[in-house]
Amino acid sequence: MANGREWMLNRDATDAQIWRKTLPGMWAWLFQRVSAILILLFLFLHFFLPYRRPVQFLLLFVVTFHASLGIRVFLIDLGASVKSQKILFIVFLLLAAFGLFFIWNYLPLGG
Amino acid sequence: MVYTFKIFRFDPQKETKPYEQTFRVALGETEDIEKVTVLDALFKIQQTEDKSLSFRYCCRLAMCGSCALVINEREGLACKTLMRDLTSGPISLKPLNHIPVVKDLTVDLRSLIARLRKMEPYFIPKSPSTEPVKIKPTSKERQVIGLNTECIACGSCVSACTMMHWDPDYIGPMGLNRAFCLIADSRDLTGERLERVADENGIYRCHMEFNCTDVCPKHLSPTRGIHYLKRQIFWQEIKSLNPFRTGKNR
Repeated sequence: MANGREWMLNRDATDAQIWRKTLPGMWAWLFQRVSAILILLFLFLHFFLPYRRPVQFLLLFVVTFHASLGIRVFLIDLGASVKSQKILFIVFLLLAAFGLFFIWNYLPLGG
Repeated sequence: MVYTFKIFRFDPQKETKPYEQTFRVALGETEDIEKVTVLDALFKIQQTEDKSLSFRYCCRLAMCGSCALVINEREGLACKTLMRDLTSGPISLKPLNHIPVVKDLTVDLRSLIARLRKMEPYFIPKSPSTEPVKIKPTSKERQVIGLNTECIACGSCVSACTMMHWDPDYIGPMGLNRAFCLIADSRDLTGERLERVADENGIYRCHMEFNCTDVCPKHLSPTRGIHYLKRQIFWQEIKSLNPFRTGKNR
């Protein structure tokens, strides 16, 4: 007890060492959470600035990565081996990059 | 070879805030350096540098889980972690996260036990029997449970799980892994255990970060158990939606 209260250690997000030791599963979760917030932001911008190529690209970028990591979560929820989670993370990041390249270059986006 | 340790020091009874103390100790002079563990280094520090350093240990064989620490910002057993596997720079030693500190590297395990109690962590037989039940190692049930029964309750998973920080009432990966082992066991009278873990302080607090799986010194995956429980709840709910289902549980 310190000052009559229990004292426990927590992860210090300001410590660079903590980030260096962050593991792939945690990065996958963080990327998805951050991309979810960015989707809201870019969607908001998209309503007020429609058909602006940079806004369109940024929105598409975060949506493809968020959706791709979402499919990874879905597969693990459905019973994919937890041992494959790191490989799935890399595979779905690559799929997101491929999807982004394909959609941006080959699908009409009204630009 | 001389190693530098940066050890978390704090006595909540006497001090108001923790500090980090640096120790420099020579290891490998009388013993084979290839076999020296972090626990050996702690003994040396306690014997030669500071007798007041507090840490917990028991079996020294990675069986009891007493010596779990955060070693270089990653959870592990002091008795299992070899010095040769650590980086050449200063070695950081801290107590487990999210568990009250008793003194220095020693934590109060009562909070872990209290979390375990929430989900009735003991076997409740469906029917009394004096004969041992035969479950083949090749049976599907045994393979589903797998090695998850080998948990040594060291608390590394609880320390690594960031959700423990945001929700102090969360049962945690250790308790949910125990719940999984019991619920998946056909001999156990699961009762209300599944309902107990199926709330925001139970399985739905797991956000699948896999920190618990990555740090477990016994290479178990509490996340796998938690997902098994999520699927059990899902199918139970789906069955309850069946309009043609009859019976008292409907």
